[in-house]
Amino acid sequence: MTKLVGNGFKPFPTKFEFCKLEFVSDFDIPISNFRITQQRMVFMNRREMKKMDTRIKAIRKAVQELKTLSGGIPAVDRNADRILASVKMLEINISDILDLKS
Amino acid sequence: MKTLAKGADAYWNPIMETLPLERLRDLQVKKFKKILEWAYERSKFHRSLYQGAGLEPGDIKSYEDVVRVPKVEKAMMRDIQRKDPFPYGDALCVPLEEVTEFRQTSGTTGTPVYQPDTWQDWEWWAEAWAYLLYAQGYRRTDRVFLPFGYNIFVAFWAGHYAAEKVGCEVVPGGVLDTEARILKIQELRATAMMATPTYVLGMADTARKKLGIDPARDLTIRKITCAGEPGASIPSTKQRMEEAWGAKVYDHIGATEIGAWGFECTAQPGGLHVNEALFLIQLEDLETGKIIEEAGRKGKIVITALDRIAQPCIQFDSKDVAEWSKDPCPCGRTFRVIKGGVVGRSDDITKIKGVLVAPSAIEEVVRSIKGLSNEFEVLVTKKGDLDDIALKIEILPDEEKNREMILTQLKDQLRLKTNLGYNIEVHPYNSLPRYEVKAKRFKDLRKHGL
Repeated sequence: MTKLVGNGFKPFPTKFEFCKLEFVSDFDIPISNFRITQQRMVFMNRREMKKMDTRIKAIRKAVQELKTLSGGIPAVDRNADRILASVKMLEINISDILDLKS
Repeated sequence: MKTLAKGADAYWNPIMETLPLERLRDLQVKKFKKILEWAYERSKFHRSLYQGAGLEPGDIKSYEDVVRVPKVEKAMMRDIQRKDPFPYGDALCVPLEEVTEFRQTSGTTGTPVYQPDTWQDWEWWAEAWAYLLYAQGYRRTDRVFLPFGYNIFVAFWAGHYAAEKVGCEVVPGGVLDTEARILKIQELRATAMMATPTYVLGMADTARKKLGIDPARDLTIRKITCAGEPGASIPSTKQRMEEAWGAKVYDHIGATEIGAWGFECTAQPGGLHVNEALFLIQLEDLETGKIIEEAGRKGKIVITALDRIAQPCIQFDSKDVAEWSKDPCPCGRTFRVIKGGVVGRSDDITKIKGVLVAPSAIEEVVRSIKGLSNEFEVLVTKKGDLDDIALKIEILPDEEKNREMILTQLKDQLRLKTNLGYNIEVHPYNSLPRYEVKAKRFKDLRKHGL
């Protein structure tokens, strides 16, 4: 469920418009602020991305361990490789941004 | 469970697609260094190319340094594949047994180039397409019809897998003929489809003439993604398609050796976004070779696919010509926009009677004239020492009464838009060649001494 406060969101925001979006999770914890300009919209903070990255790393580790445990069972290894290909897409979309300097 | 921010659902990846440009640059440079190192360590071709230029991966430290990396052209890829390992040659960066996909280029510009991909690469192809389909409004509620002969060319294969990834229901219209495809679209009430502009127009024609179906009125297709030809970025061709189908038509650009690197979004800003999350794209001045960052100057597009590993695409000279748009897109994406899409290919833009002409400019004029069919052909020859340009057209049967007016309008517009006079030949309706995939309407026979 998303609760909108402040100026409200417009599909084509005007310059330096500011709005605060409050997310309500299952635990009812507000988790983010959003600043919207004509140039960009920031949808998530670094801390939340870090959490996602941690989970992505855990999936990769678990799948690699699964491959080791399988002892070469094709049905495990090849399906695990397919999962790893998808994990790579998660890394491209989330993890790769995290270690930028700026 | 968290709910996505309102507004964020316009993007496949709201984080990446709204990243400030300076951070995108940092990301691109970081990944460029990585893929360069990957290729240098694993491919004999890349290593000798870079060593020949006195370059090592460590030499690339900034965005500006990227231009120092030698470019790869399609002709080089053709030479590479004559070497081992068969059939790809020494640009291959993974063991052969890791290759799971074979595709080849269409061969419109010469011998087809083979393209190996791993599972990860194929996942990446679908990811690039997912960015574009999502930007064009494809959602889980869509039933997507692919009137595409699934074959050796990559064409809409990746579109198929990306639509699945987005969560659409995908209907493969593979071996069906055009009439059967139209009837299946009608029967299943498909909401979206992907095809070349030539085929989109051809299908509409067939639907009306052979089946008595008006696609705009009788079918439920509301968005069409085009590829393979520049038509969807040519305003008059786009308008013809949108009117025929009663649908929004979006352009996309990609290549077998590169990936799907550019797309139009639902805001239709009069150009295509370049996908700066997955590609590093630079425009190079056609004469000086210097990088163009400002709007309004045409340049050759040089591309690096930042995450493609089996046969990396690094500093690929696409031969496509484009210019940056000066305005940001109202969709909020920070990915830059190339104005009007790709305006031509550097090897297609040719001098006729001393005037530089892009075939797309002729198409723009022909398709803007009401009363002409969708088909045309341009033939450039030599008559003595002089260039001659013949334009073959068809007049629609019920517009014959307006023949003189149509021809006058056509001549005037061609003169105005291309600065050239043409020998116009009117051919009987339905006599010019019809194409299903990539049309070959521009023929410069001067190269063959004609």
